Amino acid sequence: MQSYSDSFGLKRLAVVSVFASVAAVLGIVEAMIPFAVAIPGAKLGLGNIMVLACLYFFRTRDAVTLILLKTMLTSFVFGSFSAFLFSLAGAVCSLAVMGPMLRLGRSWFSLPGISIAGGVAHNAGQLAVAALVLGTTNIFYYFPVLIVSGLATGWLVGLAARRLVDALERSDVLQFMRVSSPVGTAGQAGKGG
Amino acid sequence: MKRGDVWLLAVLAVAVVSFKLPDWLSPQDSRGELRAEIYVDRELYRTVEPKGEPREIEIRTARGVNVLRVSEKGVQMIEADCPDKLCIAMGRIDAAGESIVCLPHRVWVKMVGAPPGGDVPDAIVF
Repeated sequence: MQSYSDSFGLKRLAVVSVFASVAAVLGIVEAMIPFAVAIPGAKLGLGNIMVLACLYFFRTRDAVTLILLKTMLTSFVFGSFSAFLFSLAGAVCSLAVMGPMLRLGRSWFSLPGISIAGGVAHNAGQLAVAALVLGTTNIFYYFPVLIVSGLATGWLVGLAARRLVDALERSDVLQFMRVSSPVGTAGQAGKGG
Repeated sequence: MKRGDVWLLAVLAVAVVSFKLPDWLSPQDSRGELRAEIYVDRELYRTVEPKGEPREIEIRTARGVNVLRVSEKGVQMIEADCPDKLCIAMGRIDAAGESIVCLPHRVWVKMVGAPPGGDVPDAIVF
């Protein structure tokens, strides 16, 4: 039984790693889109598609692994340590909001709703770190703009995540979740392991 | 749309309004001439006035160099040796209350003072 659950864990780790690398690639693709020119600081947050899918199928701690991997990978590509810390602060805030929202149950929040909340939390986290660094809370004047843009981008990202989750549920990529999951069927694996 | 989504939108609407409210209730401090205050690492580095010949100001910080273009039209970051260049993307600012932030270099440029031109009345009384 032990090896059974170990192989399950291994498969899960593999899938989470694939999710993380897809998220990193999405982050790189996103950096090529000159989106920040219109609203500086606003991001599409394409990587959040993978975080949402990960939260949906796996445990919250797997999503933590994902954002750590994703942030490290993109920081290696783009550079500085402070950028790494800023991204991480945003990602952690985002996850802290999206995790509990998803665990509340399917009837409460739609994936676009969760995605919007995560995006706004991401902005809030980054602004909080920026406020600490600059020693002023003045930059929160920018928050309303980011909330409004986060509504649009978060909704789109949520729709994309919805499609991905549906497709993954139809495909047999995550079949092992259903067959051998020690914690139940796919999508309910919230409190497993 | 699920019931939680409706609550979420309500919370966000309240957040937007409450962050904007101080602006509406008490407009920016508009005393003195319009100027841009440049802060580096929380300390006032330099104050420049957006008037006269266009010129470029180098902001040398311990973490890197930014170049700020100052003209009658306002101020704008035109160079930065940081990776993200977000401060350049922020474009030109020309009204009190606006900011340009370069986080990697801990640079914060903030417009304060009266509106440009000086032809805006202090108050209108009916």
